[in-house]
Amino acid sequence: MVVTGAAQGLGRAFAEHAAREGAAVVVNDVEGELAEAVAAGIRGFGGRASASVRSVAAPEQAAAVIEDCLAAFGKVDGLVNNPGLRHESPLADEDPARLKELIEVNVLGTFHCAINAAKVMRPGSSMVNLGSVSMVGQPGVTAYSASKGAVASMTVGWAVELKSRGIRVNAICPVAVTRMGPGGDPPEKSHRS
Amino acid sequence: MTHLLSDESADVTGQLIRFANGRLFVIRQMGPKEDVAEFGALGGALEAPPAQRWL
Ligand SMILES: NC(=O)c1ccc[n+]([C@@H]2O[C@H](COP(=O)([O-])OP(=O)(O)OC[C@H]3O[C@@H](n4cnc5c(N)ncnc54)[C@H](O)[C@@H]3O)[C@@H](O)[C@H]2O)c1
Repeated sequence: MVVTGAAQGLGRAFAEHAAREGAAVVVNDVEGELAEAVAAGIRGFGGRASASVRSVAAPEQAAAVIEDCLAAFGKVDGLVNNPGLRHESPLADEDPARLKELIEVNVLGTFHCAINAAKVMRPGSSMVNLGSVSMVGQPGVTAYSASKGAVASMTVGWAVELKSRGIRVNAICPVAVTRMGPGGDPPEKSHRS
Repeated sequence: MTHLLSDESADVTGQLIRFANGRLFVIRQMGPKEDVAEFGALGGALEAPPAQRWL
């Protein structure tokens, strides 16, 4: 299986937990050293893992993440679409470049990985997308909440579409006291929806 | 999450679930609570929503 954005935070926890349950895990992230360390840690407790240092925001790199899983483990029967950028901004101050970057990771990155996974997944496979209860619209965080609204919509649409192929698609909307990666919220603001 | 990826959840699909404070919730986007107008009363100003659009 593939866990994207798995070098730290929830993605790392998902990858390690799945590996302890017996899954062979591709640990994807843009943070190369951290991703390698997570994969090495999994191998250290007897699990199966390899790192895949690529950005899901780029279509060809997302395709390569899925290819990495096929090359390392022969199949892709699980995908956790985990990376998420988040920033706070009043609407009038929203920076178009930052907005675009967020959508490219949270929405398009999820799309790119799902597209490539859907090409190779067999019946019994599963995708899990990371959503957020802020999907209904949260003032001051609208880029993030809009992206999670898209993830919710994609999840339901893909679930119905892929049901006939025996592929499940679900989303989780966690509450976790984690700090998002570099450039994210300071720890005191890290309790998110 | 592991459960959703496992064989035990073979029929579980399309769910949006929330983990919070050690509890698991099934959540959805907000849906309509009550009607606010009859379509006919709007004088055809709106396009009629075809039922099949909301599968
Ligand atoms: N932590 C919470 O309380 C919370 C609440 C609700 C939803 N979520 C969602 O859960 C997910 C994980 O959150 P987190 O707090 O663990 O985040 P995090 O910032 O701790 O980790 C995200 C990881 O994704 C990686 N990443 C960023 N851009 C990437 C890209 N283009 N390609 C590959 N990897 C990339 C980062 O390097 C980082 O390692 C996110 O989607 C987030 O929106 C988190």
